Amino acid sequence: MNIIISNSTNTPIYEQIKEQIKNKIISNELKMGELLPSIRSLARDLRISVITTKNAYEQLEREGYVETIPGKGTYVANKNVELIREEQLQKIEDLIDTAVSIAKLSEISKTEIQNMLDILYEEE
Amino acid sequence: MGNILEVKNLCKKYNGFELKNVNLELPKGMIMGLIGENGAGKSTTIKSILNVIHKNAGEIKIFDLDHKKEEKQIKEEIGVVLDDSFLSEYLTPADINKMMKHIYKNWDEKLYFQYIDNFKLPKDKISKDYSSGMKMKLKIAVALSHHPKLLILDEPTSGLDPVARSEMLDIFQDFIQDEEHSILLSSHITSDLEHIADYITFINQGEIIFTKTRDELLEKYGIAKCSKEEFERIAKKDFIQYRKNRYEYDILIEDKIEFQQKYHIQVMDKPTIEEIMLIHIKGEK
Amino acid sequence: MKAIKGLITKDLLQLKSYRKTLIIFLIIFTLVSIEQESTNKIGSMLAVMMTLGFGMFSIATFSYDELSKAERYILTLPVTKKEVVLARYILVITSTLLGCFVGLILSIFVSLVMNHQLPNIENLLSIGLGGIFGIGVVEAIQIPCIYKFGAEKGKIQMFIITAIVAFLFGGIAFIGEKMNISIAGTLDWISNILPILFGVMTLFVYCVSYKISYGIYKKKEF
Repeated sequence: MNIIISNSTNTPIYEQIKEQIKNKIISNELKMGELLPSIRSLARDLRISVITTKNAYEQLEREGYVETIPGKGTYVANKNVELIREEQLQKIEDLIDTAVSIAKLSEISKTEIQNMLDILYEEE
Repeated sequence: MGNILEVKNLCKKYNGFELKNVNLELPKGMIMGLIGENGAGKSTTIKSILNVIHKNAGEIKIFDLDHKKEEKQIKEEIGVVLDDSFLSEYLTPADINKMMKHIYKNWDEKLYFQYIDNFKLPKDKISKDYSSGMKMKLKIAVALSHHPKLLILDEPTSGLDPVARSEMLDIFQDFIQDEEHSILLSSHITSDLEHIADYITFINQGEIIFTKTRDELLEKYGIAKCSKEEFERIAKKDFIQYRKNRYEYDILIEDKIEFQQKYHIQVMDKPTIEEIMLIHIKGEK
Repeated sequence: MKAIKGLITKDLLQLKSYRKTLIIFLIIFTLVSIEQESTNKIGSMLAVMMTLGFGMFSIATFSYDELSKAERYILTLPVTKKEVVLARYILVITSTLLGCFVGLILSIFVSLVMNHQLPNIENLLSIGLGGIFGIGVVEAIQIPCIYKFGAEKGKIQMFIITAIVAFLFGGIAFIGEKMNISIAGTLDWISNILPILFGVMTLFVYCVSYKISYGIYKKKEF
């Protein structure tokens, strides 16, 4: 499992860890029920403080991505795939919402935005 | 989760210096970094904890035991590295092993020589001829070889080059893989602590200014850089201290997100521990 | 007790680097005493010098610890201050006794080689004991001085106090002579209990010295 930490961005380190693990769960790189590295060994391997990794795991747990079984470790939770999809859709909607409001503010037409979307999709 | 070390209202007066009501709590499984200027009280605090100087007031507990009454029992389970004091330089690592076998109940000869080998220290050479990095490694090997639960390290990375320093940090992180283990270390090389310390305690002129988790300090704190005009519209209660430079004001802020919602300052930097220290010491309110 | 063993081990290992000096010291003094040939003084000088030499070597461990500022570190180990002081005294006393023993053996050896006969053993023993007492007193003064002032700084104080004591003893002897009380006569008079008396006095002096040293050390900060 790769986790890449940057010290020069403004994104907090625990946030970076959380996002990367979350993405790996969504993309199914980390499978349901898979055991994650322990808080302490992850901290050591990333050369960061234990509290930071703990923070990241706690947030992942709160959002339902992982489950911690005391004395055993942290596992990828049996999260409802539908639920994840829903969350992702919500996120996209928020971002498009921002895009639309910027477009409206600068009088950019709907077709222009749609074209942009088409191009971006094809690039992928 | 219990505390492995507790210091309550520690006071110590001497040589025109005073330690005022120092409070510390170090939980199990954590690393605490003690930072501050030379002469701020880091060493005095550590020396008081170790009972090599006599405190004037306060309570110090290690493993829930009084540091004076149960001194011997406590010292069986702590490993200590002091910046300026160690065994005679006329002893070889092999000599030290012969001595420590009698000193510590849990002295682990095998582990000790494993460290000595890993650190590439010549077993039968007196440490007088060692480089400063090798001397430090020897101290650390000795401090780790009786399976301590708590490491108390005064400036353990001073005199080490960056490679050796990073090796040390790895060793410290290996040490706390066991959740019952903790480390208290003082350092003026704050970048070391930025990585591995869970808690940072800042001491200035004999007083604790704060103890914060690394994340609170480095992710929540911010330094706003702004002009005189911008500075003047910021309320005093919304920042910790500021420092006036030639072209700008550096303002230390406890919660940069909250602050930005209110003031929208153009430049908001992620602070380093060093900058936080500097603005505290040199800045004004 | 185990901790004391560890502390003494440390001191002995530190003295390793003094080994050569010690051997040279032994050879020189043996040669000098051979030079002086067969006077009765051979034995006495050799025994006293060895006692003094060994005692001083063991006291040198103080300087070692002081130079490397080891005292603070040692107190972070699971040893009590009592054990630290006690270990020092055990080392010094043992070395002094050992020095005396080596001195006596060498005296006998020299006498056998030079005069082809055994020296007056009784005479030799009482001189040895006297030497231990005298040197014991010097050490008993030195050690608390070192604890109080430090091994390096304390040298002058140590010298002064030792000189004063030496003068006192000398003075007593001088007065004794003036008053025509022959020391030899006095020795004769109590010669039977003399060894025991010296032994007890030496022990007493060391005990008092230990108490003082511990008192100083207990209050000291590192």
